[in-house]
Amino acid sequence: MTAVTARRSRLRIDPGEVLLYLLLFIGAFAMLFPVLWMGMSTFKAEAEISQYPPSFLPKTFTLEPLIAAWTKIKFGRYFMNSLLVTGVATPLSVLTSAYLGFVWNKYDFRFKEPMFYVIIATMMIPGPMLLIPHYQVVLWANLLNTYASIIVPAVVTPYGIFLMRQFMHSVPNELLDAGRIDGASEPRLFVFVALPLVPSSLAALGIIQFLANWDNLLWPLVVLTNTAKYTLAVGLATFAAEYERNFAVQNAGAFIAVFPVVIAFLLFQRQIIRGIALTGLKG
Amino acid sequence: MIGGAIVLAAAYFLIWTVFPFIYTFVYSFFDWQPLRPTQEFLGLDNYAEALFKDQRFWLAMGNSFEFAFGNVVLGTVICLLVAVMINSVKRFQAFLRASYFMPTVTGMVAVALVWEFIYQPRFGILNTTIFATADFLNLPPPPEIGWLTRPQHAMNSLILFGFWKFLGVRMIILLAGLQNIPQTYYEAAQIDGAGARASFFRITLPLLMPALSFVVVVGVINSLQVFVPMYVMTGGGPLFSTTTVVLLLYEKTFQLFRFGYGAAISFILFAIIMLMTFVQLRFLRSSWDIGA
Repeated sequence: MTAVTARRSRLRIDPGEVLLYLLLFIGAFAMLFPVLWMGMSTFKAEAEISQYPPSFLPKTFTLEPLIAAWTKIKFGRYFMNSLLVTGVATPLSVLTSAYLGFVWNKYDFRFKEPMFYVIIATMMIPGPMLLIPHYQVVLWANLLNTYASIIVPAVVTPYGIFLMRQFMHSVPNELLDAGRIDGASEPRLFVFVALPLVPSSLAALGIIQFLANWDNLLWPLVVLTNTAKYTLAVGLATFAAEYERNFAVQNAGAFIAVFPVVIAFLLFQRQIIRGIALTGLKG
Repeated sequence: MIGGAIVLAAAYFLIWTVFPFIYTFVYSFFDWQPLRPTQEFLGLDNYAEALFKDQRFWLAMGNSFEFAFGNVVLGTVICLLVAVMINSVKRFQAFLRASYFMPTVTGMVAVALVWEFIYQPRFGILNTTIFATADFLNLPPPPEIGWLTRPQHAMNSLILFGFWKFLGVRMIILLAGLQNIPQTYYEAAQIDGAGARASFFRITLPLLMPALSFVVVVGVINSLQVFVPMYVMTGGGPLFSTTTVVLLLYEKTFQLFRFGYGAAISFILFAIIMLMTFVQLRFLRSSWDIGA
């Protein structure tokens, strides 16, 4: 037993640890507060929202702003659209990222480095810069106003390739070589050796891609003109531009957009933590 | 295996990046405006206008860098601290992780609207809390602070919002990196008599470098391109104080329909981001090739 652990076991309460928890919990409250505040404000009338002193819990519970937001925006429809687009694009993009990241990390081939630099350079292109030619491409492919025009471009992402290339470092080359000696094919090594070693990275990328797709505003705004195909982000931005002055209704609209994802996240979060714990490195 | 990867990458990047990139590049030399039958060739005039004539371009560039600097420096340092702290506690880890990650799962447009409401000078919760505190302490009532309506506060308010919004993504990448470090290294170090500080600087930090350099490089790239918070919360104001280059480019292209000038601005921004990234890559290269 070392000196450090011996000292720890003698003390009942470690003041450093108390401070650590205190800081973490204050931070956690600050992180949660804006979303909690939004939730509370959703059930307050317009007058209560702007009163002084402010109230945290609604004094008179009302569903009025929520109903107004719901009836003025086709949120059910937008929600399903977002779910469809995100649900198809996200798993596909995680898979292509892992595949390309693996190839760029573990193999040597001609023009490997220059091609990698092109991929990284792609990330530096400012968002709105390529909107016009992208629109042109979609027009030529006859995909305007389709879900495919949002899904297909999201299937390969330079960010994901870069991230997975970094994380594929943690797959030992010796393990792959051992598999090769046993006669495993390269795709088998990828699927059965490499992927199971980086579950936390795949989960992390999955979340990031899910949110990027869920949050995407500019591109759907340009390519979708049919309001029936609007995603949540587009619907909300359009709504906020129209009803900006009414904070209660606007806040309720934001609540409808955020609430289901937060609930889904709270359920999904357990899986992610288990996924990270499954790496067996840290309980 | 390799062939398939190259075909997939080439198809995507040729159609979706290289072609559009050349398309935009060519048109940055024209007075390109939609709905016109012919486009006038201008040579380098669009670039010259941005660099030497349009003062707003340099103001916007300054604003972009202010946001990026605040966002990446504040974001990375505090985020590393939070990730290491959460990784080291034994209880409530799931709750803490979920809490810090929560802002990330909220839609950007939605929470930008919520923060605009929090920052509202008269009845936003931030100011009313300050008023109530002053009341409680029997201090004279403080003035209303225009978090988003005062030029000296607006950018800082957006940086704070960005910090809150992006902390979770960075934290989960760093946590994944931390948890990919084999526990045996720490056990070996402990047997050799290394303390917590030595373990952090000799094991954690070097092995976390691939994840950490990813967070920094991508953080700079992304924060120079941030669009939605400015678009939703301030519209670039007050007095131009939060108009970033991307917002300026959006305004020139989609509001004034000066596609050619917008293309030139986007190329200058692209060149600057690329330059910064390659400097960082060179600087961080040795560290991220170590691998965990």
